[in-house]
Amino acid sequence: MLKALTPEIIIQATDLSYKYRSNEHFSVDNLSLAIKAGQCTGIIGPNGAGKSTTISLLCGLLTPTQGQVSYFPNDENNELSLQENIEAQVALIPQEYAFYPELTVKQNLEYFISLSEPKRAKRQQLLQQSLQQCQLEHVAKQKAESLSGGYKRRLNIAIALSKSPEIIFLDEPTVGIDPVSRQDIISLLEHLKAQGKTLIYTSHMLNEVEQLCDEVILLEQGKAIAVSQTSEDNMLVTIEFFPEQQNISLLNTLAIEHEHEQTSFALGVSDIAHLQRVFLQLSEDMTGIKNIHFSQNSIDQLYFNSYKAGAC
Amino acid sequence: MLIQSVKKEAIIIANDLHSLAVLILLPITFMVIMTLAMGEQQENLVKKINIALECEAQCDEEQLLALTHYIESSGLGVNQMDDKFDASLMVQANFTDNLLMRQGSGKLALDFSPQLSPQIRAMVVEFVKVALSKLKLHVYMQDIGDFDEELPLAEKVAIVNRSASVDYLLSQDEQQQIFSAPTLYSIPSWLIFGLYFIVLPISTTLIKEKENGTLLRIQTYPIGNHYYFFNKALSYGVVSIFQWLLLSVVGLLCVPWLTEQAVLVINSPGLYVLAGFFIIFAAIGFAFLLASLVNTFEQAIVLGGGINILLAALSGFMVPIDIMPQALANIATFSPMYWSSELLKQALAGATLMQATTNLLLLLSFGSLCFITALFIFNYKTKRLSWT
Repeated sequence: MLKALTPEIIIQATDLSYKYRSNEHFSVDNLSLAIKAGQCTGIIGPNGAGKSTTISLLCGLLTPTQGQVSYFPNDENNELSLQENIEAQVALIPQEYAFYPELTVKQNLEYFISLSEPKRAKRQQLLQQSLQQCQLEHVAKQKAESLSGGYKRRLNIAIALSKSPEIIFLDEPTVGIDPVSRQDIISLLEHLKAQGKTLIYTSHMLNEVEQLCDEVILLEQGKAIAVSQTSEDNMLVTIEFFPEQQNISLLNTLAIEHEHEQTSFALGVSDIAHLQRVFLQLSEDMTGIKNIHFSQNSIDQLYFNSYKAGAC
Repeated sequence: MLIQSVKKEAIIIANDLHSLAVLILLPITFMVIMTLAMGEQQENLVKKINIALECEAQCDEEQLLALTHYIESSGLGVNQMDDKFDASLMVQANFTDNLLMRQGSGKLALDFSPQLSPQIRAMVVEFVKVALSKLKLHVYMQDIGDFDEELPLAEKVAIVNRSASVDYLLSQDEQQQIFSAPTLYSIPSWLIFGLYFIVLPISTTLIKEKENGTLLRIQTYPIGNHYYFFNKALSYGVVSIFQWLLLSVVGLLCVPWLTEQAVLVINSPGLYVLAGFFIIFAAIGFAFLLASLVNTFEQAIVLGGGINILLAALSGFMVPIDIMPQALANIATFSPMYWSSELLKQALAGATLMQATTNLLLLLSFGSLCFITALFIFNYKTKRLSWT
């Protein structure tokens, strides 16, 4: 699939909330987001921020307490239900080695392919394709348990790819492996992106997120506290307001999405002209502003500025 | 998908030494041990019991020797009081008068070693009574002159033994004689014990799949939970059929040969095959129910293994139901392992399909109930799976 010039929204979450029975608070709280087709979207945040619950909701593992998730929201020809869309288009790559260590690489792939593909010839084609794509041909007959960490990670990815998905959810796919294997896997994921696959990526490795993702959503207490376009914006302007003194008109002028209780906002700036416009608008109306912070736009900066600003 | 599932489960079990030991080695070992133990009890155990026979006062020498012969003819050993003995018989003074004419109080005092079990004590008492009956007949025949005075004691004992024999009066159905074979008692029991232990590989596989995210991954495939569940059950069904065939060959042919017991003949082959399917259905249903309840490997071993051992004990696999207290024997009739072993014994003994209907229906109902409950719990739990 070729990457569209203007990426279409492939997953739309609207006012999504989820509360576990054992918890007093919502793990995901009125969250709205859009995942764009053919892009890599990173979902980051500290432990307990609601990343796992958000992903579980997006890939249909959990049913939202309120709000809704829809796949291909702008495609009028798509008449499939949410579950049918997930079954047809989604593959998961969990952090754990989600395969059978007693089976060989080939047997693992054969089993998982058999879950989705009834035709023998097509199964064989998918098997070869997955082995080739993840460079596993020469270890196809080896037991999965005897593989190195890097190859186990590749097998974890190959199983997901053997389903020919359009959307892939990944959880820390490079954890516990050496730098060379890590770079191989990052290259593989970049290759998938180039093929037009949509990746939704969670990781604590912020440099990887920055390298791979086109957009990063920073979560805290079940809310998106910042969204950054990593590929376009070179600088980041973080504006902090006094509590309950949000300058809505300024936020609207700067085209910053805002929620009622939020006090800190991050704005990506792509070039000098853009920065000049932001300066001009800020100088015209400083009402309610407690602090303005300029930094180089990196995921690390976004992450730390957002928390330092007291957003969490 | 089914072929791949069967292949996967078979490879996983073949790679798991614990599962192989529990499914194959453990039942075979029990078959051999228990067949030997049961055979020993019925044939050789009696020979090991020694009875010390002594006279308290002056005794009739011939009577004492005759009593020794009659006791020995039942299989018990007779020794002197100073040897190692399990029971002692003291012939009191005036025993002969009491024996023939019921005069005086001379008796035969029977005493046991504290180590002797209650079952063996009861058996020894019965054997001594038979020996005493023969001795009484011996003394009576002597008294009325039935014996030639020159006849040696051994001849007299032989005449009495022939006269006292009642074997010709007892008729026993040939088919019923199969129930006397110790193999019939131990082999079906331990074969079934092995089949029900499928709970361990099923539980551990399900827990592993949940823990390593495989189950999570499978949730995004176009297969429903119920389809996945029954596919897994069918896969284990195929594994159990293989286990059933292997244990049947070993149990019916190899163990009898090894333990020098009669080879078991399947008198109702059709019923035996049908019984196999019904027993496997119930065993896998029960295994899935237990597997759906447990969350950790420890729970699987304690609950799965523990309940199976408890059921085996209650179903009379370890201690025969005949010698259990009535309350426990009643509980056994509610055990699926008991229904399974009874069904198998019926198939071996040549019962008809009609005669086996009750056990077949009980197993079918039990298995169905287990599967439905297990699927309900499995669905409930998988709906609560979330990204780690």
